[in-house]
Amino acid sequence: MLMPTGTAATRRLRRWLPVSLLLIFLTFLVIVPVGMLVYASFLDAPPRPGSPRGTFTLEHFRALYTSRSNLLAIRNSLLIGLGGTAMAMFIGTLLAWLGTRTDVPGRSMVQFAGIVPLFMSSLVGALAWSLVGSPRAGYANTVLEALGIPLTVNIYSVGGMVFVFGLYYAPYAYLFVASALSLMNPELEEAAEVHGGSIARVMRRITFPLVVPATMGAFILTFVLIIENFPVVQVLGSPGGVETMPAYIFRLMISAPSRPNEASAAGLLLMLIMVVLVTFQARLLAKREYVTVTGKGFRPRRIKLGRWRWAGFAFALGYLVVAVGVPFFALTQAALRRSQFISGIGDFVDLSAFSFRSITSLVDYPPFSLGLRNTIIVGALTAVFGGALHLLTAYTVYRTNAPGRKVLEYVAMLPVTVPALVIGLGFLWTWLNVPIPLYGTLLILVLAYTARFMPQGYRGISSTILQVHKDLEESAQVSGASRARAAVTVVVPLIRSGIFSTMLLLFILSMRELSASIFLFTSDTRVLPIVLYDQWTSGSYSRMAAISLLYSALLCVLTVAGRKYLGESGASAKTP
Amino acid sequence: MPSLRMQVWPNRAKERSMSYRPKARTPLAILAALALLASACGGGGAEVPEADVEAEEGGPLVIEDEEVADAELFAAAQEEGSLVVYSGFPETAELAIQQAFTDDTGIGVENVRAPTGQLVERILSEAGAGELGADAIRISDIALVTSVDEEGIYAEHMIPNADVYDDQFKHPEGRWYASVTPTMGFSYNTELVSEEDAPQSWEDMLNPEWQGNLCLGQAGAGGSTFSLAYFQRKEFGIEYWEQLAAQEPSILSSTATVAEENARGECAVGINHQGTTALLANDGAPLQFVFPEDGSTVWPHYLSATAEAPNPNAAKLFLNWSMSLRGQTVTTTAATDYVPHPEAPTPQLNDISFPEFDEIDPYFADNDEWVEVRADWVEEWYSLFGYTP
Repeated sequence: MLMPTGTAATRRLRRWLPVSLLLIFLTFLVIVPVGMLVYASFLDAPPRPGSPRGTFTLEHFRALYTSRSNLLAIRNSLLIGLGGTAMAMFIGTLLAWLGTRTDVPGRSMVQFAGIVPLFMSSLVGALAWSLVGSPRAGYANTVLEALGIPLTVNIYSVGGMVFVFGLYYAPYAYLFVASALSLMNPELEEAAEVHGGSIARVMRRITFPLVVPATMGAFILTFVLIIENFPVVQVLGSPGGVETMPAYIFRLMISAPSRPNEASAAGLLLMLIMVVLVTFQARLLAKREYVTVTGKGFRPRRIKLGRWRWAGFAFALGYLVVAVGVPFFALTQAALRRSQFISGIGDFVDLSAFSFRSITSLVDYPPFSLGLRNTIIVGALTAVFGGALHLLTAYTVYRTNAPGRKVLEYVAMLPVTVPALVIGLGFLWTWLNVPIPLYGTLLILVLAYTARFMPQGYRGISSTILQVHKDLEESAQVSGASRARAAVTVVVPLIRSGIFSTMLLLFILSMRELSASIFLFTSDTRVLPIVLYDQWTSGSYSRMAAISLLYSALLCVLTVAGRKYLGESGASAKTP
Repeated sequence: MPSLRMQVWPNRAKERSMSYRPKARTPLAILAALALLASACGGGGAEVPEADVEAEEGGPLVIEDEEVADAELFAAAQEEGSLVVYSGFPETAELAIQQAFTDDTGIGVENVRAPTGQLVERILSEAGAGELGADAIRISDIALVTSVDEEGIYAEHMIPNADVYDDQFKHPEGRWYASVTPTMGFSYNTELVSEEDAPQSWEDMLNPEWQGNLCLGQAGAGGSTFSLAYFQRKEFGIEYWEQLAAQEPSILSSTATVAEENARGECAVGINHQGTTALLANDGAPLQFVFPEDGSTVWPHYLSATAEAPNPNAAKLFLNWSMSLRGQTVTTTAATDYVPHPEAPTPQLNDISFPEFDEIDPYFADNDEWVEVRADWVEEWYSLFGYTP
């Protein structure tokens, strides 16, 4: 380690070096790929290496502007985004409130219901719901017919997608609102009550206004996540001919011959929509200051629900059944049935039609084992690599006075506005043109995932760093420790569980990711979501269901095991 | 962007205050049970016939008395040891074919599978960067084959039994061979449609009975669907497209899913690929296949070796083997599709052989015209069927 003396030049270099290195790195992860996409969207030929360079054109944007299907895609994406967000917010907020601030029976079940669907990937959710809700052969329609209800469910519609998004994005809303509610100081509410406010009035005037920032944040985050989501709109939108932005981008890329420049332009357009939304949210929250979390210890008050207690319980249980139970039932049916044809409700329980073949044959199906292996490798590498990168970035931003550190944070948060498909496309163009043979390796997936989940990873680690007061580190430095030593011996042990928790998040998010890898995989580097998606496109429904079941079980076990381990180590790390 | 507090994961402090303790032991138990079951039973798969292989050290490769490779090529291929195939052919069938090749020759195959359109994008990109990973390529759609050929990507290789094949199944200089000739016709769900009611002609498909109850693949998906669009327009005029569109069919993104949707009962009838239908039916799905009286389209998959292949000899051997009677027999068995070799057996559905290839009234598109009209016709088809893009 260099001592803090030396010439002015080395001092300057040392001041600038960490930020510059990180910045170069982040630039290659985020800015170059997006730049390549922008570049491609203005050319009349794809930026394929070796092929003649295209010339500048605005044709792709003009084509987007005049294309009826693109306009439909934008309209549908916005509609689905709004509807899905509204439903997710309703479910998530209600569960959060029930789980943190009321005396609902089975509170731990309510809290469990609030987050458990997060670990079912939206791809699996969409595949399962396509089995349940397809207009003719869907299980729901078989049941409705048997009950004599003249109603047809069609999940291949805007309403169907709103429903599925609402189910699987509710946990995001839950996480935001639940933490805000449980951290809220009850003094204000108590004061209002002392002055004669009724429960309903206190809730309306005090409780909910206080969680507005969390709710707004959740609303826009959820909205942004939904409009860029590719698996759900691909699986549920394309059979019914419901055009959406992500599916449109994807189809431009895979149609034969492909239209990569138009796809790039459409990707850019989706990105612009997201930039506008996120900027709007940042503006909105920047105007006022919302301090609800103080250093004082308190217990959040529980509201007595009275005769509504069991209604709250039923709501949480109902959500759990619809979001997890029904898909699990559908996937089990599809995985175990010899023939996918169901003539009536009796077939659901006709055990003679069942066989474990589709599950057992996975042993002999090389893409499955390969995909599983790749998924775990990529997830683990993304966790380790992302964890280290975000720790360095967050430390530089919050604990040093290095010049340009705010820019670092800005770049780290930038992928919030970049659709996963765009990251995939950008990486494809970038690494086909850079003479480093990354394309076709698992490493390119690791880098793409790191870029994709940078905001989550960076936020996770920086918020834990912020929890440790600077004093501790500074006292170490006053006592003669170097900055690096102070960081390693004081800060890192204190935030260890926060880092692990973020790494686990990165691991799980990577295991679920389809959109960022769909343009980057080669047959050697197929990950499990790709293998699963392949089953759907090739119409192997029973194998698709079998893989979905094993994949979801794996995600669930990992999450539960990981959180359990973290819960214990986190508690012990706190004692000294 | 400091006000962007977007956090998906609850951090530790918040988490503890939520006292979250999931009690989910069920998934673990299920996983364990599934793993147990998986180890207890064996797996199924397409049964590929055995063959009499003569492959002596330093000698030629002879299978069922047919010389597949001379001593020199065989030794060189064995030296290379393996090859990479980029294939748009359905994966299960492709893997079964490649496995039989490995069993016969001892040479390993790595399969890179993607829908043909995506695969071509990848081939052109990789070749442009001088890093094409493929030793051999199998794709459908002569327009795309031509676009790859124009980049000089294909090698010229004459297979030993080239004379066996009609001219339309081989490139004059050996840049491609039609290794398999799948056909398109009608499938129907036998639980929903009786044999008498099943459509028999292209006219029957326009019967109001099938309105809203008919599945087909979008015309631009690949060779399978464009062969249909081409045939319908050439034989019956563009009016046929209009009438078919008026049937309000479910338009699926590829032909691969038509059979499964038909089997589930999502639609009663489908304009479908005979091979996929037979594979599913042989697997117990309630499906039957009909060759339309007035013609079934053929969409060959073209197999080629690449010019800059890292394993050129293994690739040539793969071509020779695939086009030998042995390779053709394996292909027709694994894919339940027709193959161009005149002596190869016909595919079967539930142990009943399909008619001989000539009897199904196969319709071949004119390759030059196909290449010329493809892009425009697909666009027109999209606008007529209200399909995007």
